[in-house]
Amino acid sequence: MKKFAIALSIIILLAMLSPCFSILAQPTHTPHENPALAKGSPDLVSILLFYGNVFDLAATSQYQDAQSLLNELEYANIPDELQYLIDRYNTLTQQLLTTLDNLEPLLDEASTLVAEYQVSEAKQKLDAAKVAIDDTQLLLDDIEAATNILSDKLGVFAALAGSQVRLAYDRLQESVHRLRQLTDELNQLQQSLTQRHEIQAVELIPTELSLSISPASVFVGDNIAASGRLTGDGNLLVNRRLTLLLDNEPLVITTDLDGSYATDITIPYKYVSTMTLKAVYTPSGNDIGTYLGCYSPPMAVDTSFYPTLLEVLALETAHPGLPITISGQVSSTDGTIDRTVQVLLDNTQLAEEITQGQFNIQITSPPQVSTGKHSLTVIVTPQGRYSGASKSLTVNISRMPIRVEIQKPLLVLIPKPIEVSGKVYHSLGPLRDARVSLTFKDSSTTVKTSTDGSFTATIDAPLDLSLVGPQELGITIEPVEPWYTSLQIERRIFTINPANMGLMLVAFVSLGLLVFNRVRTRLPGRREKLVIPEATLQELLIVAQALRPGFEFGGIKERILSAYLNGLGVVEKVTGIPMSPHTTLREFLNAAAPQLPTAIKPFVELTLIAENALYSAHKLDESTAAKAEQLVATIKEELYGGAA
Amino acid sequence: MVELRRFLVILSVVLVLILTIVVWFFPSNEDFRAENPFWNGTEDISSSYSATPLESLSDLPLLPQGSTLILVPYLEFTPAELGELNSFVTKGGTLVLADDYGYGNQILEYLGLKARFSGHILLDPLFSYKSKWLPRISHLASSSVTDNTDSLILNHATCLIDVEASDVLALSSSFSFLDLNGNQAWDGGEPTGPLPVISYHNLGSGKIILISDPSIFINSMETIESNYTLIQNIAAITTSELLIDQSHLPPSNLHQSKNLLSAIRDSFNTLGGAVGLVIVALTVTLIPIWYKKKG
Repeated sequence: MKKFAIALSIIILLAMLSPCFSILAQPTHTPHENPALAKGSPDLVSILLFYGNVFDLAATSQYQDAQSLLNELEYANIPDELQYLIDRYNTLTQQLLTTLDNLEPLLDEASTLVAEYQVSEAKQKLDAAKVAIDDTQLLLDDIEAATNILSDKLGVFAALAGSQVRLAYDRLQESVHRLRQLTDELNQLQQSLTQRHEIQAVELIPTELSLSISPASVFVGDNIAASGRLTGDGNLLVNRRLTLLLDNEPLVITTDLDGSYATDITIPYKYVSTMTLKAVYTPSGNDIGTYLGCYSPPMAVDTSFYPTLLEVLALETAHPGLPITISGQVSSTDGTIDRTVQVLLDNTQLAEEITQGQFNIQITSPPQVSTGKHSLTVIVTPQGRYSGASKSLTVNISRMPIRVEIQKPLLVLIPKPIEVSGKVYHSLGPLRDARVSLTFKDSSTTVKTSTDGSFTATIDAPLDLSLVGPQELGITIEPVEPWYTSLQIERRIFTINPANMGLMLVAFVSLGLLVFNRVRTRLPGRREKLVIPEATLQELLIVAQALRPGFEFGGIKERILSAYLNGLGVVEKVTGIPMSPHTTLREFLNAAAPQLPTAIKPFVELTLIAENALYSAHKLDESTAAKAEQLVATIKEELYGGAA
Repeated sequence: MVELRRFLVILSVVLVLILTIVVWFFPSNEDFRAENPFWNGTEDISSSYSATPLESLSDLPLLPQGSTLILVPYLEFTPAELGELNSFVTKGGTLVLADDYGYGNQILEYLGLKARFSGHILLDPLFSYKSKWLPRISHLASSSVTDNTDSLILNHATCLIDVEASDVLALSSSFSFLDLNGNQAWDGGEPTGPLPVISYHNLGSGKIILISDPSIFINSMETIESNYTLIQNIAAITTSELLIDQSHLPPSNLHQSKNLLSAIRDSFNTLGGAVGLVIVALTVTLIPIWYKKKG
C-alpha cells in the first residue's frame, strides 16, 4: 500500500509538470533567437570605421570601390535618430567620390595632351579639371563639418581618450586628412599643367592638318583614299609622322616632301553605318619645343553591308535524347550565298551546318539535360559584306509521360503472395526493358518489361495487425529511354487477414465471457431474493465451517475465541448467512444484524470482545472470558428460547 | 480498504491516460519542427509549399529527380543514412544542407566536397538586423536560388570555408567576422568578411546548396527581408517533392515521448506486436476467471 501511494504521488507530480516538458526539451545551445524580441544594438564605432574605410579607398584613388562600399550602407543597422544625418553624409560623400572619379581622368587626358603639345584640347580639359577641383574643395569642407556633427551625435567628444569610439574617430579624421592631401596634389597637378600649357601656347608655333576622303561611302572590306596636308605657321612640314585614327584604330603614315600625305585605308568588317576618321600630328624629334600638335577635322565614312535576315521555326517543346528539327531561312538583300549556321542550347553548340537560304537542322538535346525552360540560339556567322544574325528561342525541355495498365487481384488473403501484371506504353509504342518496382507493406520486388511492354511480378504479402480492408500497392516505373518520364502510381488491394481475425475473435469471446460472468455474479437484487432450501443451507454452513481456519491460541484468548465461534455458529444457523473466509467479524456483524432482532445486543458485545482478543494489545482477564461465554449463552437463549 | 485500493488503481490508469493524451496532442515548440507553429518552427514553409516532413532518410524517394530535401543536420548520421543521401543527390535530387553547428561537415566529407561549415559564429556589428547576431547578407550572386533576392538575414549563423569563388552565391559584408574565441568582439587573427554563407555545387546528376544557417527557414525568419524569396526560389527549382528532414533535429523529451508513443502504436502493427497484444488482452481478461476457479 505504501509503495503504491509513492508510485501514485510520482505520477501525479509528473502530470503536474507535464506542460514544462517542452521547455525542458529545448537544446542546451540555442542556435537562434526570436528576431521579434531581439534587442537593437547598433555599433556606433563601426559606423565611424566604415566611413574611414570609404575615405581610405578614395585616398588611394579607388573611387569605384569606395562608391560600392558606400552603397552597402543602405543595409547597415542604423538607429532611426541618426538616419537623416547618415543619409546627408552619404550624399556628400557620393558627390565627392563622383567628382574625384571624373577629375583624375580629366587631368590624365590634359597631361597627355600637354605632352603632345595639343594646346587647344588640353585647355578644355584643364578648365573642366579646375571646376572639378573647386567642387572637391567645397565638398571636403562640408564633409569635415559633417564629420564633426556626426561624431558629436555619436558621443565621440564625451568619450574618454583611448576609447574605441575615440580611436575610430581619430582614424576617420586621418582618412579625411589623406583625402584632403590627395585633393591638394590634384590641384597642384592642374596648376602645373595649366602653367605648361600657357607656356606652350605662347612660345611654340601652331600647326594645321587637313584631311579629305574618297569615296565617302563604301562597303565594309573596301578601301578608301585618305589625303591631306600638314603646315606650320604657313610652312609645309615634310617627313613628319602622322597618325590616322579610324574609330580610334591607329594607322601611322608620313608626310611627303610637299607636306602632304595620301594613303588607302581598308574599312574593317564592322557592321555599322558610320565610322569616323581623323588625323593627328604630335611633334617628335626636333619638332619638340618648336611646333604645337594638332588634330584634323573629323571625317565621317558611310559604311554599307548586306544585312542578314534570319527566320527560325522550332517546336516549343523538346525531349532529352530525342532529336528535333529546327528549320528556317537565311536571306539577305543581295542574293544567296553559302552561310554557316550554328545551333546552341544554353551556350553549348549542338550543331553547325553550311546552308543556302532554307535550312533544316536536326539537333538532339543531351540525355542528362535538366527539364524546364532552356535557351535555344541559332547563329548565322558574318561573312564578308554579309552581316551576321542570331535568334534566340525558349524551348521547354520535358520528359514524355508514360501510361501503364495494371492487372491485380481484387481480393487477397494474407499472407498469400500477390501476382501483379501489366503493360507499360506510350503513344509512340510499348516501352521495353523499363524497370518496374513494386512495394507492398515491407515487401518489394523489381522486374523489367518485355518487348511488348508487358510485365508480370509476384510480391509477398507479409502478416501484420490488419484484419480486413484495402492496402496500398506502390508501383514505380523507370524507362530506359531518357525522353520518357518515370512514373509512380498506387493501387489498392482489398486484403483479409484470417489469422488476425481468429485471434481477435478469441479475445472478444473471452472478454464477453468475463463480462457476462461478472454481471451475473454481482446482481444484488437477485442475491437478496435468493431463497436457499434448508438442506442446502446446512450443507453450505458445514462447508463454510469446515473451511474456517483453526487457531492456536492458549488461555483466555482461546476461551474467548471459542465462545465467539460457538455464538457465530448459532447466528449462522439462525440467519442462514455463512461467514466467508474474506469476511471480517465486523462485516459479518453488519450482514447478520438485520436478521437478529432479539440477540443483536449480546452478539455485538461478543464480536467486540473477539476483535479485542484478536487485534488489541490490551491484556485480557478471566472476567472477560467468562463474560464472552455468558454472552453466548444469552444468544442461544434468545434465539432458541432456552432449548439449547 | 478494498474500495480504496480499487479507487487508486482507477486513478492511476486515468492519470496515465491523461499524460499520454497531453504528450500526444501538446503542440510542438521545438526548433525546426514542421508541426511547430511558433517562432522557432518550420510550419509556415511546410504548409506554404506542401513540404513533406521526413521522419527517416530511408523514406527518400527512389526517383529523386526534381525533388528537394531540406536537411538540418543536428544529429550524427549513420553510414546507411549517408549512403541514402549520396544516392539521393547523385540520382538527380537537390540537397539543401542548412547547418551552423551541427553535423553538416560529416555529410560534405562523405560526399567528397571540399567545402565545410566553419562552426564558429558569424557576427556583423554594422550590416545587421537589430543586432550583430543577425547579420544582413547583401552580396548575392545571380543564380536561380538567389533570383530577386535583395538581402537576407541570418540568425546566429556561421560561414562556409574552402568554397571555390565560382560556387559562392552569397557573401557576408566586409564588416562581418568569425568570432573564434567567443568574446563577441573582433580580435587580431579572426577572419573578416566578406565570407561565403551560401554556395552551390553539382554532384552527379544532382545539386547541393549549402546554407550556413538553418534558422533562415524558421517561421519568424522566413518573412524578414528577402528570406521568403530565397525559400520561394528553392521551392521553384523543385519540380517534384519538397521534403524537410525531421530525423536529425535536436532531440527533446517531448519529442522522444511522442516518438515512444508512435513506436508503441507502430509495434502493434507488426505480427509480433499483434500477437503480444492479443495475449495481454487474453491474460487480463482470463486471470480473474482463473483465480475464481482456483479459489
